[in-house]
Amino acid sequence: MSKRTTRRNVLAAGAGAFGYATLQTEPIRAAIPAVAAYQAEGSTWTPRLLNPAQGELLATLCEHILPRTDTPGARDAAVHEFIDLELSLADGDEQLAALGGLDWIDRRAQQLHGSSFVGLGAARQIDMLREISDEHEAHPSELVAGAAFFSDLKRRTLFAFYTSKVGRTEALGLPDRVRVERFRGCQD
Amino acid sequence: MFSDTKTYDAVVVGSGATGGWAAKVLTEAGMDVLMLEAGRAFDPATDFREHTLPHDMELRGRPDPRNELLQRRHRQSYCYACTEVNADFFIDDVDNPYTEAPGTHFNWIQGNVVGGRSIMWARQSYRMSDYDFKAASLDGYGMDWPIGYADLAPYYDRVESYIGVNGRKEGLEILPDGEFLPPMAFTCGEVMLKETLAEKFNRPMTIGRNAVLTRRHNGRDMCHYCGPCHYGCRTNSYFNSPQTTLVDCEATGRFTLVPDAAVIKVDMKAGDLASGVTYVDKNTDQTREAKADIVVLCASTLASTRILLNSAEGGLANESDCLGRYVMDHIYATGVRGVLDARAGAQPERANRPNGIYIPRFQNLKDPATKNPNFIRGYGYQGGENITTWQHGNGIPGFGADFKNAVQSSTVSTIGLGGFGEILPRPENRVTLDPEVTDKWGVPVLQMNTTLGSNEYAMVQDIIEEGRAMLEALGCTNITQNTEPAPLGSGIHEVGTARMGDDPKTSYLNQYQQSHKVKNLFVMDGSCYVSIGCVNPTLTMMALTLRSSEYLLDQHQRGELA
Ligand SMILES: Cc1cc2nc3c(=O)[nH]c(=O)nc-3n(C[C@H](O)[C@H](O)[C@H](O)COP(=O)(O)OP(=O)(O)OC[C@H]3O[C@@H](n4cnc5c(N)ncnc54)[C@H](O)[C@@H]3O)c2cc1C
Ligand code: SF4
Repeated sequence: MSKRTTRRNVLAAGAGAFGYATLQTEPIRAAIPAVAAYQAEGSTWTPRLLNPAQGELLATLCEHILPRTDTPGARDAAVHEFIDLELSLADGDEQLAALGGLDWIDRRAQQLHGSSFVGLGAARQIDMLREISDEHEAHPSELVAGAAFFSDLKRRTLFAFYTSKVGRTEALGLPDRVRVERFRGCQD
Repeated sequence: MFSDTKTYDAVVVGSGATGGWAAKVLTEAGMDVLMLEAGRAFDPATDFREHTLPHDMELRGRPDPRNELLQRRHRQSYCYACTEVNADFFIDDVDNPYTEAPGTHFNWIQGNVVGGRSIMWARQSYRMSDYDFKAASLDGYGMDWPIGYADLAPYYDRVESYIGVNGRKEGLEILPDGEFLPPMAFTCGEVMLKETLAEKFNRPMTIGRNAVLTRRHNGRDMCHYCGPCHYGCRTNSYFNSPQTTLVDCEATGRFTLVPDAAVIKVDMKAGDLASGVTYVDKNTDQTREAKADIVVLCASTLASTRILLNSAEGGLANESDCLGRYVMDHIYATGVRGVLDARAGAQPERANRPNGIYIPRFQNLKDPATKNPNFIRGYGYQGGENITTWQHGNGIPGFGADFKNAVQSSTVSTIGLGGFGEILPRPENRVTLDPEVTDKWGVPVLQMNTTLGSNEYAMVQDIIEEGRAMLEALGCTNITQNTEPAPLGSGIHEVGTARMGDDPKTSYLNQYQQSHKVKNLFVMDGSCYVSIGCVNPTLTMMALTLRSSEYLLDQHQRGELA
């Protein structure tokens, strides 16, 4: 049986794993202007596990991993919505790790730049992700938790993006419906 | 319409791979056949969902904890083929439990629709050889089958011709050739593997032989390579009973199929003869009786055995004490996978070949050089090349536009080889009735008591070592392995619990799958296996059913079964 954990005890349990007293989720929301902007644009998405601020933070991170280029990016494919849905159904440990990771990002942003992550310019955001990304074989101890979160998020983003309709059809160029095909095999 | 007052010429229990064949032979010969099926009615036109893509599913095919169908199939979902798309093809584990003896594990994967597991099966179809039928004579372990390859060969021919099996003739004694449709193609990585095996190991490799149509056949359309056949096939391009044998049964006008009818026991009359069966009508939860001159069990090995155990104290006609013993399956889940760098960047085909490669057993053959001192019998490998479209992204460092382009402009080829090994028939590997637990309808359930033995573990080790050696010789890197075999049942090839033989003291059935004692009782599924060999069993099961059904007809016409 997988552990079914309520949101409340996830938040309470957060204390130990990431070394801070409580995951302050609600107050952060008010503090971040970008959220207001995002919502003002008429988004109808209501996150399930995350609060809107965390949702926007997640969307921003995912878009950095798979940005819009000449093909659509993570936000176009609503990757953050899928990850929120998946996390809302995951067990407590998994939820805890993700929520703790998002919080880690914001605390690091506060520590380095005195701002939430979403409040930073793109260049600074990218620099912050560089230091925890898997381009490095090892990370200094204060970045280990962030690096673990990054690699988990990258795995989730890849799945959510490339299994989406947009990812499948526009990024990978595959048909959105099954077609009649023939298997040709090795022609060499 | 089913009638409880009528006595049918025969009742066939189970509508899957074997039941369909039995009923086809009997109805086409003029017999009036009742088929009772525990699963629900099934309509290929609405139940088949093979064109579901990940983005059609809210969780893109990942297990959804909110899905009640899946929750009620917590054991079935062990099987790769049981997902949110087709969970309702599989049995409800809550209503239909089974238990395991302390310290043992068993995965019992069952269909629960008209068609049984012929709908979800992976269609791999190989013939057994006299290495299998006469294994005991070759190495001294266990008992020979009462029949040999020559007895079954004509029936293999006919089953293959009817269901349509694609494959390549190889002229190997261990893997007899059949009546094949054109073979499916190898990928280039597989061609490289085949060449490596030939040059460095002197080992043959062939394309999988499977029951999928590579051209139009018997009025059915050829495969269009969509891939997930375990969700069904609206074009009728792989073998399952509802789209083939059962259609033929219907056409005779002498066929009565009753779904939602779970048979509990075989009923008896004077003279050691069966009089029919008792079953639960799952729509009303009422118990009903069906009368027939001949009873044919095709409920799948363990389900048929359960019916026989529930039919009389100690098991019906079980003087041999074979009933429930000698459970076999294949060693499953162990194998190796490696990255084939030489194929990096190869483009995957859009078409999805529902098939892989096969490396037939290459040890303990007549050539003394093939002797392996660590175990008897052997194993084959199934597998093939897989080319990722994006999954390799997890292995590419970084993020951002360059990362995304790198993911989308590269591919990774891996070669996987999974061992399917012979499990020996051991009397202590058995199923019995659980003294306490019953199913939703109060019918005692099976308790499984099975373990792998030392021969199997020695084989597992060899599967890994030989697999690694072959991948290394091919030039693979990053080779990973799974050394932990899955519990019995996981191969979904369970057989052997009412074995056949010439001597009623040491076998339950004769060579025509007829009870030694109750002459109008037949068990025409995998229950009769004496040893399992290492190839997938269903083709052999169907060939046996065809052979036995024709024997039944002959005996019936001579009045020998009354
Ligand atoms: C995912 C998967 C992959 C597989 N791949 C392969 C493969 O590649 N090659 C291969 O050879 N085999 C494969 N198999 C195994 C194959 O499906 C079985 O060997 C085959 O279907 C057995 O035929 P059967 O007629 O004995 O049983 P089934 O086809 O399972 O049919 C039995 C029927 O009896 C019904 N039944 C059970 N109990 C009762 C009862 N008490 N009363 C009335 N009806 C009852 C069931 O509901 C079912 O419909 C696979 C199976 C699965 C699930
Ligand atoms: S791959 Fe072929 S046989 Fe399988 S479901 Fe698709 S069309 Fe049918």
